[in-house]
Amino acid sequence: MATVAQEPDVEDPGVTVYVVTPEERWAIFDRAARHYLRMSGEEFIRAWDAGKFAEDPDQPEIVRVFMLRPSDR
Amino acid sequence: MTGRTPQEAVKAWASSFQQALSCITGARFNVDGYRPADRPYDADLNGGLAVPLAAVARLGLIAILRYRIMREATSRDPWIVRIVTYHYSLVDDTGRDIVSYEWHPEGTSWARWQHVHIGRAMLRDDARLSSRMHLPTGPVPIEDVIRLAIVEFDVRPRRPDWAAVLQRTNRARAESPDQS
Repeated sequence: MATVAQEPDVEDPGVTVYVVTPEERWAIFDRAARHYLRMSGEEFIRAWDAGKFAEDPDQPEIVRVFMLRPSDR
Repeated sequence: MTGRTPQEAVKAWASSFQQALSCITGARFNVDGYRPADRPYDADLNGGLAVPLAAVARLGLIAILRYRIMREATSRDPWIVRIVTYHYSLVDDTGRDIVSYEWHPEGTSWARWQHVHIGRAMLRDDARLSSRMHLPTGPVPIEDVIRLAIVEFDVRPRRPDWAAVLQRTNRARAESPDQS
């Protein structure tokens, strides 16, 4: 389950747009899989491709990790 | 969002998101790339994890998208970025979903249309409504979710011109009818 940490007030209202590398994209996906589903990114891909989430694909945590899966994996 | 080059189109699109998000968060917005490809690219706020918002009742925002870079030869700026999937959630301080606006036509869900889920924690056990239900919506732009957070959930905006910013960024991306 996701948790929300405290955010300090920020004077600069800008948001940084960052172009991630494939390695960073994988790290984001892997971190999300561990955070939301307590499994690694590789484990999620194996489970997804084996149809193990097919019965409940709309669970929010699954949707989030699926959407963060690098589209070339 | 359009551009003379793919890079220009992605930059304009990402910048509009950046501007809108800056109304309530300083977290990082990530995009994957700007080279035309057969596959969609990923984009996310804070790596897809909840970003805390400044509100009396603690609240978080999750934003995850996929976009495609396409060429439309008839346009003066031929390169265009289209959102093809989105997931925008407001969550409580324990990470439980309050409301989630979604469109994920490429997944295994049978719901291919834009919809909203009401969080399970927001529903009584005997409610006719279920968090699994896909309540239809039109395309929901991120600006609507940000406005919802500010106006209805009392999130403190980070900039005084937030209403004008949301109007401007939403209008910029609304040039194409299926943008959101």
